[in-house]
Amino acid sequence: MTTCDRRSFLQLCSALPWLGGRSLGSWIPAGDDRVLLVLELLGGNDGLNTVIPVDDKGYAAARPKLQAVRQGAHALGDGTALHPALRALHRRIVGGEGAVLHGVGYDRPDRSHFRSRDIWHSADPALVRVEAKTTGWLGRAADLLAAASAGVPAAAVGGLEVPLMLRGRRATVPSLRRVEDFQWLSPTSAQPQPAGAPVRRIVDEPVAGTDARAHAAATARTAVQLADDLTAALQRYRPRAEYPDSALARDLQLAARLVVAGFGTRLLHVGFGGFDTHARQLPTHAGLLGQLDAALDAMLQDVTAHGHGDRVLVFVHSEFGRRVAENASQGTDHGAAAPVFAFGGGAAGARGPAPDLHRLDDGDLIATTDFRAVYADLLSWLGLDAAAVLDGGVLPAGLVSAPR
Amino acid sequence: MVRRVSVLAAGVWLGSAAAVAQSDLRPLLASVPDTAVAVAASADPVAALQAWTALLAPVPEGLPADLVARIGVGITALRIALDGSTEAWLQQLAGGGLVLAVLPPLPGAQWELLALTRPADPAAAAAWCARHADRVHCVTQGDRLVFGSSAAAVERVRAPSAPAPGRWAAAGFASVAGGDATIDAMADLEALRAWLGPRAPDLARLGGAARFVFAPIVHALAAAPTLHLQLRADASRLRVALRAEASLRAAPFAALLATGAATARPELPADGLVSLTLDRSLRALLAEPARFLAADDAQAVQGFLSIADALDGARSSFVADLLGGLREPMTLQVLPPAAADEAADTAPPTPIVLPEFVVSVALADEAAVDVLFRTARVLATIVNAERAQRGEAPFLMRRLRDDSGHGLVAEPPPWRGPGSAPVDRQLSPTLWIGGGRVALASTRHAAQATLARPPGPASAGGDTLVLRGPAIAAAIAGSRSALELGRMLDEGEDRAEAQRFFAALIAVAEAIAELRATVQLDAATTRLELDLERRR
Amino acid sequence: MSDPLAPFEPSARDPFDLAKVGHLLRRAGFAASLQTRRELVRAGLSAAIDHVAPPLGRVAPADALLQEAIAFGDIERVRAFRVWLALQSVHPLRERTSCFWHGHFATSNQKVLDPRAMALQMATFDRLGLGTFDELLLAMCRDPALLRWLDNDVNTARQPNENFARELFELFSLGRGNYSEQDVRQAARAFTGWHVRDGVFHFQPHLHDDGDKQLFGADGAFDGGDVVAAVVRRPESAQFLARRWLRFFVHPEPDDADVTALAACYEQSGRDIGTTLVRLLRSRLFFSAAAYRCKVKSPADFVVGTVRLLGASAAPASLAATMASLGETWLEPPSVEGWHGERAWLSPAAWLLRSNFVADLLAGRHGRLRPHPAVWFRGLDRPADRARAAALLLLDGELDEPGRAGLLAVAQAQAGADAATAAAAILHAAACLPEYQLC
Repeated sequence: MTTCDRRSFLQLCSALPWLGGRSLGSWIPAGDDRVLLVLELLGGNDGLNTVIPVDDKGYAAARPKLQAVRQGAHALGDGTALHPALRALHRRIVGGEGAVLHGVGYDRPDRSHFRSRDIWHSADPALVRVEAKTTGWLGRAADLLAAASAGVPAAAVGGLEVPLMLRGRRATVPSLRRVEDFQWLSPTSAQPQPAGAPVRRIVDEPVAGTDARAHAAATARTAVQLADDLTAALQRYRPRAEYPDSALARDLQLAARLVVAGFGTRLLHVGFGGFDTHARQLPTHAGLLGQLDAALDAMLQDVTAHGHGDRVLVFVHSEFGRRVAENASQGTDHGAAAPVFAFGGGAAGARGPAPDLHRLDDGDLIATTDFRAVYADLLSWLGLDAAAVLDGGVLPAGLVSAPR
Repeated sequence: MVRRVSVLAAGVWLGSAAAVAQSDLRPLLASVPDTAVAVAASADPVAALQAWTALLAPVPEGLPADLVARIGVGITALRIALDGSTEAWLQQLAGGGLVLAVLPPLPGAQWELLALTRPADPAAAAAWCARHADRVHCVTQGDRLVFGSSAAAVERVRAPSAPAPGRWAAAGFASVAGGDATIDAMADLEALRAWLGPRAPDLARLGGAARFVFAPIVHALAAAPTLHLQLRADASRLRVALRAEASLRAAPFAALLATGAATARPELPADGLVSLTLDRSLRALLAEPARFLAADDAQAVQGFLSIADALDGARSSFVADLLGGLREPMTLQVLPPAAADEAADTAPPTPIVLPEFVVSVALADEAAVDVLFRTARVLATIVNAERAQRGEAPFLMRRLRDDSGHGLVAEPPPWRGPGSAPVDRQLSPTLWIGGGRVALASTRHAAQATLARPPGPASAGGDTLVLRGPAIAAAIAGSRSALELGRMLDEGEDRAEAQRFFAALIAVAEAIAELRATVQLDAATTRLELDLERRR
Repeated sequence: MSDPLAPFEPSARDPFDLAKVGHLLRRAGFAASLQTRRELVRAGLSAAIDHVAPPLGRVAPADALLQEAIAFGDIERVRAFRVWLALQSVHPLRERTSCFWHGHFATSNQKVLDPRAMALQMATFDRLGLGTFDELLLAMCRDPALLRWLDNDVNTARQPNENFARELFELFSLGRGNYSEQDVRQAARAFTGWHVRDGVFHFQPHLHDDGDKQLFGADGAFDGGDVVAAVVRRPESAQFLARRWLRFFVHPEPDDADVTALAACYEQSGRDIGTTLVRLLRSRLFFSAAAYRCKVKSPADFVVGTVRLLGASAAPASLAATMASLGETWLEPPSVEGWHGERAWLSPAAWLLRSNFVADLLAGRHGRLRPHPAVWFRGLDRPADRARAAALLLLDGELDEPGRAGLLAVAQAQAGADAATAAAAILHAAACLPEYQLC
């Protein structure tokens, strides 16, 4: 039953070819300006009806009603096909601008939304009560970036709360609803401080020394420069794709503006909810995937048209997949392993072994790839030290670690 | 041309006043320019003012002293500006009748207001106008005075010599009423909508919940040609009646209206705070969310149903079997907090005393009862599992039965911790069945008490909101310091300011014995009535 | 060698002036209005010390509205309540010291998931934070939030959990290197059965290991109370706490000699925190030039301090949210080590958010701002007077020549504006000066 012990995890780490095939190419600059956007499908996306094992008899048997999505599904060429609603994303995958990785999860899966989400966010499947849930994998990555970057290394887009995934120990990770938050505001007008504002004299004062005051003065100068760059870039930004009218599209466009503006923000999180499809799944799931397809495609088009396609990677995952067998309400209940997606810069390559529908763990798919191996790939793509970020996560389960 | 107001009991008082003084106002109405979009008329404005004054006085006891003082200063300032008492001034200028008209702006100008009056004392009125000529635009036309918000406005009045009276003289004011203090008004909704353009009321632009709640009113504003308003006050009551010639019943959204509208509804007990019945069908809404809601909202409803429909597995459908087994509309009532438990007298007094909430609805199909119980059990299990994750003791599930019926009660775990008990210990969520009705309540007491009361008489249907000021005031007073802290934290007020805020709120609430709002629809008409009763 | 803790003696050359009062109020409280600062200059050093640290019996207890704050079990409300207490500062040093202990015994509701327990822990700091460390440490070892945070509520004789004992030594009392792994294991046994039930400390004798233990070279059937009693007496503990206090109240990198002096003072006082801190606050060391504006303001210093310097009022809930966006979410520290603080607070992005907070505050976007900014500039029409007024309000009038010239330029540019607009622009500019980021 166990497929992801520590050794195989490390093997996957080093051997996994699904990402980075192109990123090793020469035309992409070293990873220091790459942006990772994690698009989290909240509620547990039904992986089997997203990447459908159309040729597997076991699938049809487990899903007498829900198998209707095979009609019009888009073949991927390996016996699986994408949900009919994912037309644009299918085109990207087939065209080499996107990747699917089958069967990602972790050993001894937890079927609680909250706990499984915490596990994905903290990158620690051994999450037991002794582990204080205070930092997430991207937050720890942001800590590494914070020292080097002047801007905001990581941000949660759209939501009110910063998810655990983005919480670090040092880096300040804001929740962004408007990019304007990082312009330099004036107390007397709704506009950012104009170029000739007298207040600029205050921060333009040259500084020397290493004491706290010099540090504060230097920080102010950098900050204002950053804000000016952002303001100029925001003014230049014109969407180069037609975004649909949905909350997800608005969040993704905000992320795109941030990427195009360039603010040193390299780690982004966008949440998209409603995937907890326990009943009458077909119309609901099709609607959600349709929104995802249209919004994400527009965002990718937009950043590519602005010339940033190669430095942006969108990683799509959910806290778990759903059970193999459909329930009696024409829905599916909480399950385990599921496919993940990557789109944009560097996304290419193998799909990994598909989970076996005929060898289940208590009715659930058994993960063929540990999610931390995927994280390790993403971190390497970003040019970050995966081992430093995932340190706590790769320890064998059961070892007590102090909450820090 | 008197339009009889029938159907409504409230119509009687409107109708009785009809025709008394209509002929007196007709010449004034005849002068209102056709372009006016709203017109209000009173044959005896002095009586109307007296009635208002009687209703508002005395200022509610308990209002903060400085607020009372400020009101006093305002009244005195007004008297000085008017050269004497308000009543004498109004009698002088408009004792023989008053018509107000709102004129849409001419290109590049402001909205304008026009007042046409028949002074009781033309000489004194002319003198007043002359004295205030620097501030007031006023001209005399025969036995009438014309005031305008600008000189241009005054010029827009129809000349007395015009060959035919304007459209407002023929507009059919239901009862251009006289001596008993009625104000009568009409608005030209068509003109207003044309002026508002894309900002005009439109159901399609309302967000999810607002669309459901306000559908009848918004539809009426969006479709009716005119809006009629009548207002009457005396020392103890204020009544406002609005009527528009359009009805949701004749619109595609009519399917949102509840089918069991005439079902007897529970009466709000004497000590109750709030009762709200919306003549709407949740079942219809959830059965076809895409038909009634915007795309994002419909998606959210689908998401909700994805979970709700699974609570009872394949055995039932949330919409068809659970909601379908109920005879909507539902009634929400807020009842006063139950008396504190004597067993809890060792704990410090709780700073928040929650009122009790209960939603009740008639049963259409007994089969729904089993679905309800199973669904409630699953929900309770989920809630308890989440509590356990936070290390909190679970609610204890009990099946109970008494004279009022039977049901499922989730009893809160006892509190032995430090300080006063958390607010959730005041809850005992209950599903109760009895007398052909279902109640879902925040406490067992509320559920049982609601179903034990005999239902009211058969209902005329429609939406009803009842607010009882003194009970609401008592509920606020019971949690006052916690509410005050909330304002201090959220608004940045200091303690004294927060205290004053709630003192004023409580004083105003205590002065209102009851506020009742109803919306009634027939085939082609929407009526909204507000009835406010002053507590004496 | 002169005693760094000898009382500061104001003189003509080094008077007790607005700069000194501002320094005291920033470090021993959350700053104060110009009116208060001026009054304290007149009243003198002793009166100023008495202002920041009045006898506890003389001021309102901090928990007067505690039940109202925790009734909903809502962490945001508890957080706003703590900000409100800091804004009120009825006992500046108590409010400040509770902040210190929150960072010291850093407990996060992210794991505790019990806003009441968090509020009660903070109330314990309010009550005992200026008493003896013996009493405070014992209270913390019985504190429901802390026990849950460090898993002592699953520490049993059968399965000892060392998390609590380890942090007790490393982060709460002794510091790394001043205990052995053996000490940790033995102390963990002593705390077995120190659990929580219904939100209160609950000792479970049947889960407690009452066997013999060896701790710091002594033998006995120690329980948690014995561990606390042994730890507080260790000289390393005095050194450890003294260094923490100096870092928090005086200088981010204290001298070893000053640490030793403060540790001695603490031990002489019978390990009384309040006595030690008051001695520190009136010392030469505290008022030395090296200590002046040498620390970076924390988000709480910046946000709460700005409102108090202006003598204004603003909505605590909104201020708490601002502090969170700046990286200081009270009741949710990033780890048991608390906040790293100092220069880590001040990234360029944080600088922008700080500057924008002041702009928003002055524009009335954090709740009604009273009095209105124009009030502070009433009767001041000349740009130079306005610039001076802003410097006094926010910086005790202490700024260098380029800063003064910059403020004057802003004031001159606002010469044609109405008083309210001019006040907002000039005050915002003053808050953008490097000095204003320093505490």
